[in-house]
Amino acid sequence: MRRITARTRFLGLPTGLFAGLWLMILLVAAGVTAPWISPHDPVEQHLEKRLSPPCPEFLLGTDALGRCVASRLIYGIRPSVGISLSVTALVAAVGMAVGMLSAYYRALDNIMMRVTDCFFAFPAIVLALVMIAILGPGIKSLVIALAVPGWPKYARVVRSVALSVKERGFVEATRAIGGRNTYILCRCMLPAVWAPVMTIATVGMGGKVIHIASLGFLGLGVQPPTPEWGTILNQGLPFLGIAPHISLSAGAFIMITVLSFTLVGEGLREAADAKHNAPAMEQLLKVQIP
Amino acid sequence: MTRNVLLHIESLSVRFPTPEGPVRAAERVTLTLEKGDSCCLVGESGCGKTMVAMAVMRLLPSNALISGRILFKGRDLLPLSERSMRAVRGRDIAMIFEQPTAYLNPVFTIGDQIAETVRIRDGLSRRNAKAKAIDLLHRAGIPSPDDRCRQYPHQLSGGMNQRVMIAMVLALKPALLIADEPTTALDATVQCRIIDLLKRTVAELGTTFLLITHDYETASALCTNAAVMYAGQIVETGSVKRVFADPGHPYTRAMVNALRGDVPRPIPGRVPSLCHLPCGCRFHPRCSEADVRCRVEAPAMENRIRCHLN
Amino acid sequence: MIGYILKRIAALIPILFGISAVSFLLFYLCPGDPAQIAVSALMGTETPPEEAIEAVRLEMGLHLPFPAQYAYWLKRVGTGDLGYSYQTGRSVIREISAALPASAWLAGAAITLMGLIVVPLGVISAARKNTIWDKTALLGSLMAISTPDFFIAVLFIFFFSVSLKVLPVAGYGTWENVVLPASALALSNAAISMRLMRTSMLAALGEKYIVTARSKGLYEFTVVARHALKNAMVPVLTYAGAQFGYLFGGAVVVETIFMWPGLGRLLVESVKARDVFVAQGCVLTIAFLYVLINLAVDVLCAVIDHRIRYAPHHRKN
Repeated sequence: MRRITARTRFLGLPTGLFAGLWLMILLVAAGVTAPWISPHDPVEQHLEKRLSPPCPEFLLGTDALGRCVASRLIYGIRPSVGISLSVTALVAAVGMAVGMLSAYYRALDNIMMRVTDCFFAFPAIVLALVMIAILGPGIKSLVIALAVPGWPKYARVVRSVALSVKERGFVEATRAIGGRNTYILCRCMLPAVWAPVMTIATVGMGGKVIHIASLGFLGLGVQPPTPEWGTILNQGLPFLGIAPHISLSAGAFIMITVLSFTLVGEGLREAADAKHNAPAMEQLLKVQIP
Repeated sequence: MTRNVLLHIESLSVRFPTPEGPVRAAERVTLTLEKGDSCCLVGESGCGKTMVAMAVMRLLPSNALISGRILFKGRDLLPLSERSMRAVRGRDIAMIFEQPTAYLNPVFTIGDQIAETVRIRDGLSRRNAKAKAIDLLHRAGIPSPDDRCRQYPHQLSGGMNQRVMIAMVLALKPALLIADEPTTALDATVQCRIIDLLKRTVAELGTTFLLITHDYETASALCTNAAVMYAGQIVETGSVKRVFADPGHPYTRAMVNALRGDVPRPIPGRVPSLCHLPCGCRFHPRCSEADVRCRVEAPAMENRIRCHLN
Repeated sequence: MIGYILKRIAALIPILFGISAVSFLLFYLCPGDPAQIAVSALMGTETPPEEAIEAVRLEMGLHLPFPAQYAYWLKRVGTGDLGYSYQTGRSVIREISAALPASAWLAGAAITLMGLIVVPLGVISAARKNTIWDKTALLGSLMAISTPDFFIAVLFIFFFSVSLKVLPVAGYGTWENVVLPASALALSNAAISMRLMRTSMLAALGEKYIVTARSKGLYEFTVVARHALKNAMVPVLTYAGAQFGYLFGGAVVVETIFMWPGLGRLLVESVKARDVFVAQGCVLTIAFLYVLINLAVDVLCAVIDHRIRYAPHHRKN
């Protein structure tokens, strides 16, 4: 059994990244194949076996209406992971566009940055709550509600990366030889921006999962009968003393999912840092020369 | 070991393991300083002189592999515990550095930092330490020390900050003072004044002085003895007068000649990388007098010069 | 220093306007006729008379075009009139003033606990880099980042209230009531701060003035806890300020679980009950507080690190 250190690699990837990726793949696979791998139908009620603890028939027990918790949680992967994926893709695209355009066109910059500042003043969940209030509950509103507070973060980071690219002279040089604006944006800025965006996006997906669960917990997210982890956690609360397995397993599912995204995000961030750091030799020479 | 010897560095080697092979920053360096001596360690950037100084202070990074002995007041510093070494640092051996502004803490006032140093040595109360700090700033030649005390390092020029560091040395009154390129980062006009101040300080404290520099003129101004370093090794030692007026080693000769006269004459070639050192004499690729023996056999220190052609 | 503060306040003003605009816009877009909802709630009937609705509509300025309506609303807000709650009939200002101390108490307790976790753990993690302490702290923070605050709250309730029965499940008023929610919030939010503290400390410990401090023979504790820490505090404080501001509204779910009568819970209840004015007032207050708290923290950082007063304001994400 080899000892795991900071340098241990599996298949060329650091431990955390490897584990995270595997978890993510497992989760997505489970979500996609939910109808086939769930032991029971998630909405089917076995009223005679309500609130039963985990047993061979019901792996994670049943809830107050006799529904199989395990099946509901597996089906719950779909809204959580699915919505967070789509929201993240949306806000990443919008944020990247805003960020790069802000960095490129100085006139736009001031206004856009003031706007993002305003958005930052609202905690994400507060904005999401209000959006739900405007749009009414439901999956489409949920996507919008999560997207609205999400994009400023990407815009900010992309803008600063794009600005640093701009300052390194590629942009001026390309313009000098007659490059068009779109060319500059796509070929000079986009590659540099990609890595930080991927890093934020993976960790951000974890955050979205938590937000979805929070809104579900408050009853303002995905509506029943669609199974959703936050809703299940909430439904299990009154029975915490006699049937803790409902809430605890829902919470565990949330935790494991977010953990996998966070691990991947951390792994990507470390890889990006390592690439930017000077190789060992140069660092050493920096030590020698005062 | 005579009673007069303060610092005796014996066969000091400093190596850093890297993926490309060990970097031999210093190789069997031997140097002796008697009490009251002022010695300079001269050489180009990257020759390992700072490594030697940091080794004496035991401030090298933790991955450094150090061997040899560093005898200070008869006691070997290398095997000392960190706690014992801490007692030596500051009180017995003090150091000033090249870019004084970077080496001062930006979030504390000048007065605070000097007062802290005063309290290390004298254990005074805060108010007395503050007063002493103002006095030290005055002795280091800083005008209106009262106001300066309340300022931060980034508000002062490089020359001023070096005076602040010298004020700290005045507070510590060490037995050995190491100065690593103290004037290199300063303007030319300021350099002379700092050199003067250093001279006065060393004389006033009667401290033994080890100067690290690449500028042999500064070395001549401040020191009586010299040791020339190249690529991690000491290649020549002697009195400053003798070494620079009548250099024995080809490198010293080339270095002194390089800046003499109207036209600077750089030494051909480049300093070797410390993890890919040439065989035989380390200077032979750039030496105009090298012969077969120099290429094959590494010379030992003989008559204070490390050269086969001596 | 005064100049720095004034500059920051001046930069704040457009943002405050922007916040008010967003708040107004959000509720302008709400479906339903606020006048009708208001009158229905006040009169307690489903079909109030048209004249009453018209009167209220005029009073609210709902007949004006959008920009004029915004200006009218702004004027009313400026004079302290945020409307009134449909549910209780009391003014929004009163509702918010009742909820604000509760939020402040919870946020304050959570931040204090967070500080007690973050600073020691972050410093030790950095000072003992790559040892077992460091690795455990990093692993722990990874788990905490991945866990929503309400799940930590549920776990706490399960262990302390249900199983061990040492602390009350919900309620408001005593220290016993605040321990669980504050700890849940502190633990989940401390994770990122701790990592930031660690990174910040590692950067500070790599600086040259640390070499000087060590060369003077100072105790390692002094070097780390005085010289390095003060430099490392600034980014952590900035982030902590943002978190403190966030806790005023963002602690919504935890407040709901523990029935803590704070701003977040007020917001959720008003959203569910379509009590537009209260919801709007909450959102406005939360955003304002966030901005003001960040300003206060920025000023504090300028006191600690003198250089900030001269550099143009750099925002940290």
